[in-house]
Amino acid sequence: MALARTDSRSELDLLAIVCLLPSLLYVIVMFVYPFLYGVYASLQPLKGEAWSIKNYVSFFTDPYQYTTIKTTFALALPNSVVVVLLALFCLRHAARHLDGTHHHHHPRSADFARRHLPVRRHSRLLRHEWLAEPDAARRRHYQGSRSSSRIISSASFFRCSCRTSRSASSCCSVTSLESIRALRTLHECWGRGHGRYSGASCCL
Amino acid sequence: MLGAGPWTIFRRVMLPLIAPGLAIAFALVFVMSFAVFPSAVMVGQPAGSTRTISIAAYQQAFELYDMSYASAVAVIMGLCQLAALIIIILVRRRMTIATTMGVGKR
Repeated sequence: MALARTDSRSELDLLAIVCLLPSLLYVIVMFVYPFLYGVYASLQPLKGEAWSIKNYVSFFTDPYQYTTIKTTFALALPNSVVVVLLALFCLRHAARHLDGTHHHHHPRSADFARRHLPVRRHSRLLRHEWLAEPDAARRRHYQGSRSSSRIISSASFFRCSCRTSRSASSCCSVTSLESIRALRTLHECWGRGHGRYSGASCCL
Repeated sequence: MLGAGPWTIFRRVMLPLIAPGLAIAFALVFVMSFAVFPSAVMVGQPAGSTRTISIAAYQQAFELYDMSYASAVAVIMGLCQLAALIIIILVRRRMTIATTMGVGKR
């Protein structure tokens, strides 16, 4: 029983090795053989006897040759550092985009978006950044800092949704106390006259 | 995360987590840029300050037609890259102590 099991396992191993052969052949032909041939060729100098390390000796005794190592390191190391730092910078910005507060992180940019974007695009932006989900908990999460601009942003979303539904009751059915307060803030803003949306009273 | 600013979060949380990946990225970029040839010829000074080791190998192989010497230069270049890789991997192994999630622990 145990013998049969080991037999089947060894058959499996044999099959695995046979399946490995094509890729192994490729690696040997394309990488291992050229590398070994290069090492072999470097040990057969053009002049003089075969099998000597004359090439290496002349490389490391000639300053014109061995200073190239220093030159290459001096170029490659700063280059790698700069490239990795650049990648970190890109990663930071990509991650910032993921956390949902990209455009509305600064109150100034939130105000800019609210004032200068068309209504529909602004609503899409807000939905994209999770500020405009019809989910009170998530909204509360983003309004946690009580920043007025964020509340205004979410309120302008409700303005958008009210515009599509054309009904105050359907809008207010999903709103919490906070969003009603937000709408009130928005209403005050419009009353001061620097909003481009008119007719907020339809929401309230 | 109570009271941690963006820089503190990055330095104390993000950086230890991504450090192994950063080390590998550094290794790949380093190997690529160690074998630099076109930029060193075109925007550099191939006879002087940017005479990299690949230019030395090219000169031996295709200007002096000493393929054996050029192979020796190439082997030396590979050994330099290998030494740098070993150093990077040793440093990386020291960095991974900070992770607790088992990600990138090898």
